[in-house]
Amino acid sequence: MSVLNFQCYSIAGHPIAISGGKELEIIENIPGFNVFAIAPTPCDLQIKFSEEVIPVDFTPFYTVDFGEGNYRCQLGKEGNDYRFSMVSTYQKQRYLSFSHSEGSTMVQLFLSEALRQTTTQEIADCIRFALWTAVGMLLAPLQAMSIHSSTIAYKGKAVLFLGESGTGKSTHTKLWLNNIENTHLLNDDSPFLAIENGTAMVYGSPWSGKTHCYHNVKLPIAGIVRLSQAPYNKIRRLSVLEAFGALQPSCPPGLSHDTFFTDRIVEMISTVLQSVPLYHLACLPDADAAKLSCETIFHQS
Amino acid sequence: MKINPKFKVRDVAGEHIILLQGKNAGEMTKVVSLNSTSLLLWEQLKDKDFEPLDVVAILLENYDVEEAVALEDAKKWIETLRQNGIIYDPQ
Repeated sequence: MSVLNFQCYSIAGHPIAISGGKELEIIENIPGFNVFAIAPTPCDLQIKFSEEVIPVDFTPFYTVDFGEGNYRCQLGKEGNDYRFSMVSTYQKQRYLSFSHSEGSTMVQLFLSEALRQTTTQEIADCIRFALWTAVGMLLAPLQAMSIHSSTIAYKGKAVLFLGESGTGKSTHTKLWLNNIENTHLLNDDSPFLAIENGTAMVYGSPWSGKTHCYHNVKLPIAGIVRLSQAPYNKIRRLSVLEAFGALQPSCPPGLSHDTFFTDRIVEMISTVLQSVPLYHLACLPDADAAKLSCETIFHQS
Repeated sequence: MKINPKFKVRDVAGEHIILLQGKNAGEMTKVVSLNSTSLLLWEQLKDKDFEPLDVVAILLENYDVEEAVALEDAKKWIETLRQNGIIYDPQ
C-alpha cells in the first residue's frame, strides 16, 4: 500500500494540487518549485501521479525531443483523451506517460519502472518537462499559457522578449540588467501569460530554462518584443497581423497542433494584441540595443 | 471544388485569419489573412461544392466590377487558397 500525499502550487494565479508518493519529494527539490508552493487549499486543478498504467497506443500529432535529444515526447489524442508519452532515446524505454480528458481539470501521470531505476536527477528532469506540458493543458481553458520568453521587470511592468532559441533573448535581457537601473529579471525561459478581466498579465514560473530565476510575481505587460540579430539596432511597432506572427510561435508549440487548444491560444493572443504593443527589434548584442527597446516601450529618453 | 472544412476563419483583434499549422516541431505556422471580399466569398462558399463561375457571380452581385475583372479575381482567390491546400477537389 502506498500513501498518497499532495502539495499545492500556484501557477499563473491558479492553485494546482499535485498528488502522489515519492514524486512529491522529487518535485519539491526541483529548483524553483518551492517558490510557487502554497498552503493546502481546495484545488479544482489536479495532477495525480498514479500506479495505473496510462496506455500509449495513440497516433501522435506532435513530437518533440528535449534534454539534448535524450528524451522524445509525443502528444496525441484518442477520442476525448489527450495522451502524452516520453521515451528515453538511449534506453529505448518508456519513461513517463499521462492522460487528460478534453475540458477536464485533471491530469493523471504514470512513471515507468524504467524511469524509477534511473537517477533522481533524471527523474526530476522528466517530471519537470511533463509537468510543464500538463500545466499548459490545465491552464489553457482558464485563459493562461506559457510563453517562450526572457522577461524583464521595470517600473512595475514587464517586457517580454521573444525569439527562436539562440537568438539572444537572455543576452538582451542581461544588457537591460547591466545598463538600465532598477531592472530585474522575472523569468528567463517560460513565464505564463494570463488574461485577467480582459487584460494581459505575466507571471513568473518554476520553469526558467538554465537560469535560476523564480519569482512568484504578477505584472502587467508594457510591451512584447520579438528579437532578431542584425548588424545594427532598429525597432519597429508591428501591425496586428505581424504581431500575431511574432507571438504565435512563442506559444506552447504542442498545443498549437490541436483544435481545442488552438481555439484557446488564439483567443488569448487576440486579447493580448488588443491591449499590448508588439515590436520587432533587429539588434546587436550591445547596450544601445537595450536602451533603444527601453526608450521605445517606456517612451523616455 | 470545396473549401476543406478542417480550416477555420478566426477573428484576431479585428483581422480574419486562417492558420496553417506545420506538422512537426520547428515547422513554421502559415497565416492566411482574409480581406473583406475574401471573407465574403468564404462565408458564402464554405459549405458548398462550387465552380469559378459561382465565385464570379458573388463578386458581380456585391461589387461594381466588370465581369472579366471579376473572373480574374476569382481565379486568383481560388489559386491562392488551392496552393495552401484550403481549396481542394473532392473525388
